Amino acid sequence: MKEKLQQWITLTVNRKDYEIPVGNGSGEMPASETLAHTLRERLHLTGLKLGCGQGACGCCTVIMDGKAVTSCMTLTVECDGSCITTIEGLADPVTGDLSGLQQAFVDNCGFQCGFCTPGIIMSAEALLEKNPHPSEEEVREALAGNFCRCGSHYSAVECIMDYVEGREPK
Amino acid sequence: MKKELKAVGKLKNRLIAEDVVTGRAMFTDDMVLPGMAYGKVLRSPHPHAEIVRIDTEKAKAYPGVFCVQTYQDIPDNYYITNHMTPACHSHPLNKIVQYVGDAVAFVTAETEAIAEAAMELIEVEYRLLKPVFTIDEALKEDAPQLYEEFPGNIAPPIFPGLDDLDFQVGDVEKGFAESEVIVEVDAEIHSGHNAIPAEAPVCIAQWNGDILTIYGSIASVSNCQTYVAASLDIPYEQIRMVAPCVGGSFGTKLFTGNVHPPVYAAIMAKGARRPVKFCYTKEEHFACHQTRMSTQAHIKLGLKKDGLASAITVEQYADAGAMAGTQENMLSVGTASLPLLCKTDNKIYKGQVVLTNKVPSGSFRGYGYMESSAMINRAIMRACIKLDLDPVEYFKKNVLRHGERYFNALNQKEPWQYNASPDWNVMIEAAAEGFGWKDRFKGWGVPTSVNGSKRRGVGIGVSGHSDIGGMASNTNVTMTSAGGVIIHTVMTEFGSGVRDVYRKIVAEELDIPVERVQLSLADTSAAPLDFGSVASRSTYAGGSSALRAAKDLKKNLFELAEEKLGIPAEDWDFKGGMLHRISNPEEVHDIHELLIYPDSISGAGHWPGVDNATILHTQLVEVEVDTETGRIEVVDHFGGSDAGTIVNPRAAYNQLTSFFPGIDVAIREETVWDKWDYKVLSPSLIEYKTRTFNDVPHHDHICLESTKGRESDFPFGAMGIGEPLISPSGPAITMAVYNAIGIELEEYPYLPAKVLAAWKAKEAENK
Repeated sequence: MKEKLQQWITLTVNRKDYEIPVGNGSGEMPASETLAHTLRERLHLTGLKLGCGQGACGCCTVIMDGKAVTSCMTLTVECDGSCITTIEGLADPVTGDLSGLQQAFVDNCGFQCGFCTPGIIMSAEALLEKNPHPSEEEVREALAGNFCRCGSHYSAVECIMDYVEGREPK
Repeated sequence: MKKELKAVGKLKNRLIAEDVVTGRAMFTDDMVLPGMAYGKVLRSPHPHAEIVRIDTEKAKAYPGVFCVQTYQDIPDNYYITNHMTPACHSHPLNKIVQYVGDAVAFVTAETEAIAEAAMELIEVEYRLLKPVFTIDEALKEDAPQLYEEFPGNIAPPIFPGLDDLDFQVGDVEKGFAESEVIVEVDAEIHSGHNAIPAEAPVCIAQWNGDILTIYGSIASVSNCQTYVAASLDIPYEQIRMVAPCVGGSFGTKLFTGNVHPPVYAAIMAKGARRPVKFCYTKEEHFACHQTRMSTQAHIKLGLKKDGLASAITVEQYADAGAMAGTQENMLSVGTASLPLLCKTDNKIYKGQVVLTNKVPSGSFRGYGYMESSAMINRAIMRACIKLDLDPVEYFKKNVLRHGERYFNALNQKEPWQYNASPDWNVMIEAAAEGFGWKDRFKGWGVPTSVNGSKRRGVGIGVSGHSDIGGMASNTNVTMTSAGGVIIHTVMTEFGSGVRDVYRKIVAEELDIPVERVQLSLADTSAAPLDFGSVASRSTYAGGSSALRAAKDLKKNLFELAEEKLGIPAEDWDFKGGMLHRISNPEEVHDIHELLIYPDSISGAGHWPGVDNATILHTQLVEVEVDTETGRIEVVDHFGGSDAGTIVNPRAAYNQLTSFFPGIDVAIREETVWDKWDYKVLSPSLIEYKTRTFNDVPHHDHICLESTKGRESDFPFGAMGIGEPLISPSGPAITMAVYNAIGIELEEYPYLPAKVLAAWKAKEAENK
């Protein structure tokens, strides 16, 4: 039996705590690893998508400590102690019931191919956490970093506004 | 036929909706197979060069590398080909590289990072060859020749007389003689419009003995299966192709000509003797996959005094880039816009495919006809200006009506067809009214309004093609002894909702709840062959095969009922999940009486393809041109379609609002080439400018349902609407800008510098 010094970081992802060993050995996470890679490959949370790897499409958006971040542009080592929510963390963990926003996307078909949709929903969730009653313009600004080529520019926003307007007023 | 529809047209959540919003929807890159390796491609830095030495020893010795392959390792019978036309000319790896980004070597390793590191260790020595970059350069007599097979850098059709692009019909000279105005236009599109679906091409290849399985982001699996089989020279049935969710295609994941991703993955997997995932980076997606073809044409169009077209000739060249694949078909489908835009039978068309040293062009939504109709709309605009004819009046007169005879060059055996689709002039009229054209069009070259430096104008564009029922579709439908139904189809899920269309058509025909109908995976081993969801054909052609399968299932069920219950097959009906005896309405039988669990009965639906159905879409725009900055903004946008019958209301709405790449081909999107080597200088979503969520114009549309509840050739009256959505905006914007500032801009995209220069030149002229 051998012993060695081990660096690690902790993450809370979708309410679950993880300790991730950092280093260049087998099973360890290199310091150069992006959060997108860690979430997809290590934690098997493949709901976020790798669209461009340059922070330009928003398909990899997750919420970190209340803010929407492009996980492909974030190094995991810099997230030590952070609290992260991915698209998999939105539904009720016990019943599996969809969140109100997810349900709105289902009901109004706010997507076409669905590749960019998890990122769009996470950007919108991050906005709604801060501003529960945004205007359509504020929603559009919040989604400005999300690339959609199918053209859900109207229907996705309609889903979000339907959800916002359907909730209790301020 | 007036019958209340129970499934078709009803609001239902898309089948994949819950998977999409929870992140459970599985795309190819989400899949990991046991023992899977990762492939990378070393790419050429030169536009035209011969590899004189290549040394892969160091790369092969790098820890974690399984395999390195160069052109020396590729069998002679491997080509990138569809085995139709043009002739085979390019191997998966070649001794001569033909564009910046062409493949030089494949590296397969434990991880992508290892493959990339090993790639750096490959030593390559090139002998530089003189390149050609444009159609004009390639056609020069002393131009460098790209392929022995293509003298003069022209890729000819492989079966002369059978698949000739060129055609001549009617009496063109007589037509021009009868014309009131004749215009001649040299038009072109050279902007390298990129489809750029959010998900880059990705495939996983796996060999089990001689059997190749490819899981991939592939929009039309049995179509692609034929091309991979042809490329690897193996029997079709030895390939199984499976598409999980496809993250957008817009024609660029058909891999009809540019079948590189699945073929590369298959070769890597064979060499590495394990499953291999091969995923394009976004940079490769932009610079090495495919762009919209550059094309140029000389068009001569004659119009009679009453505004009817009297003759048209088109001579067109398509730039294939470094490899010819689908361009010939694209030119050919491009001619299918002619019957819809110009009501004349006097036509001559000549088309040629030219090779150049740049990234191959390929299939893209609006397959060939986006390009042809952009150029023909330009000629129409000039002719209407000369005649002082309102363009809406022109289109109302010239578009096809139901039952009208037209020349469809895509069917060379029987080119004369009778339009099965509705009167398109009705749709044009409805859209023009919805937009308020009459009040907003002030005459040619007259702005709708002027506010300081900001001038507004309106325009209309029309585009479509005349063959939405072409090619074969096959669907099998199985009813289980529990009364549920499984549709076996290779139709993929890439956003349009075609699988939901199938579900509703089958549920409607069998009179069972939509929820009792499920679909197979888009897996070639689970469903019969199909041309796939392309060209807005899937609702009509595919949907017809699904409807036939459901009818065949009922026929088989009634025959079984005759066998088991002794009552003639003709005396049975099937509704509400039960067998009903027609001659005795009291007599009802449960399906369990015929099928004891576990059992099932199936029906097969074959659709041979027809060539008599057309699709048309119109868009009207108002633009604001700022003559101080040169910026063009689309301030209002209106679309017009006719779906026959809408099957999925929300999915149809999504299709009807998917027009942005059509606006931006005219005013924003551009592949920037380095003029010295035609390297793509804009290979990212940062440099290549597309429409963002906070920058959308006001939009509305009208979608007619002209065949709903009426006799028609279409399944429950439903046709397609989706494909032409990005085709009419460009011509509409060209016209609107002309009306706003009196200038016809000629080269997409109309970026501010171009607009400003044209405006300044016009001002200088007027002084």
